[in-house]
Amino acid sequence: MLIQASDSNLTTPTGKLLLRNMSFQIQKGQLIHVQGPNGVGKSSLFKAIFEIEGLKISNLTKSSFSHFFLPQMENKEFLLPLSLGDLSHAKGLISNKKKGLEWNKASGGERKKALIDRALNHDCDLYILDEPFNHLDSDSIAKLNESFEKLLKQGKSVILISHKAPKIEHIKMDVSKWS
Amino acid sequence: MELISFYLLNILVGAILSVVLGLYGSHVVARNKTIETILLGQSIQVGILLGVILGKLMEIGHNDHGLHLEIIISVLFTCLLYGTYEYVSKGKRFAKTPILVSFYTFLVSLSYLIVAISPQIESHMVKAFLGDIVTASKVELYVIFGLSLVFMAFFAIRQNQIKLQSFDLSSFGHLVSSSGKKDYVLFNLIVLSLMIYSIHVLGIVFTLSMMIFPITISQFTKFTLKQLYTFVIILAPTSVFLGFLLNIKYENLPTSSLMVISYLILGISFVILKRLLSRP
Repeated sequence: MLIQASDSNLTTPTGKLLLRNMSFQIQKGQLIHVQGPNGVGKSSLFKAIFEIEGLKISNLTKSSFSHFFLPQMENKEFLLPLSLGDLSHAKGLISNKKKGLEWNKASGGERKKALIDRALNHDCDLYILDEPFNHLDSDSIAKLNESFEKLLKQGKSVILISHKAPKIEHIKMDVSKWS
Repeated sequence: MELISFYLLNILVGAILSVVLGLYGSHVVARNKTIETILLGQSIQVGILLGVILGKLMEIGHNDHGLHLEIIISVLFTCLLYGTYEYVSKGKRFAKTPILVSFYTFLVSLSYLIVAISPQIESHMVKAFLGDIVTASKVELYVIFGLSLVFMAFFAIRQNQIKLQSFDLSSFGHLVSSSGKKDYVLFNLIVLSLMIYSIHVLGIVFTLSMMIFPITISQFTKFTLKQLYTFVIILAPTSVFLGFLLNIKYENLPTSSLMVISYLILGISFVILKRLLSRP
């Protein structure tokens, strides 16, 4: 077991209750598709689990594991000169031709591919990807599903926070039932 | 020439410190922490003033080793104040700037209050603001030289991780990987130590300028990351040397101001020259 919530509540830094009475388990080798309408608290739930932005969650148990949390892309410019290849040298969604492209000049799709390559080439136990399918073409989505399959075979876990379900076997987690 | 050889160690330390400040400063700016450096600078200045007062009250003379009371009080005060700022502004992402400016104005008021109560320490306030590497003791220079070399080595070894963390903090506001926390903490500790020693010897103006100028100048020309680092490694020590030479010629002018203005003029000249040369 990696993460376990037992009758847990999610609150903002100001104490506002976002999600209540949540009970779930995340285990090794699982692909979990987190779904729910906009603004229900899907991303906030995982930000709270990893203690980001001051969000709090009660009654949570976490074992010792390494993780990579790729949040939603805000398409921001970066002040330092950085190429897409700087984010990941390994083979992935971004072609070798595009690796030299500057981050600030790349399109939303190219940026997204570079970020996903970096995330999936990082060696860890749990990958949390927030809206990974946004900005991606159908070929890249298919490749991404293949990458998930490979990770699961290696015993790693993947959490997808998305409006789009993955094309491979997965467990559904509907956050709206806790709102 | 005689004066240059007499102050050779001072010039060398100023040069290496300017490079280290430039390399780390570029990442501090990229992490959207530019305004935080101004708060840090001001709290280090107040810490130094408090250290001087405490030293006088406890009748501890100013000794020559690098880690004296002013530095210790400065570290403690800065950690306390910056920690309070981080705690107060936690979870208030969009209110961070007004909170920070409130802390800053409080510190400026506090420093003038301290000087009004103890007018004899006014020279320390001016020194913390403008500084002068010529007046640094030999031991202080050796300590800064040693620390700068260690910090530069850390930067060279971990530059890839530092770069990716700067990108994450700028793009998402937090680290994305659980494996890089040590590097993040070390980076912050190094920046704090660098700023404290640099402000103590060379003043706030020099320290902030050396940290912020490279990335500001780089916004007006096309650089790769390696070219930016090379720009820092060449231009920062040149400005220090030029400022020193000008100070020898015009004794009344402050060294740090001359170094800072030299850096800016050289940087702007470089940008203009590069643009002229790249024209078809």
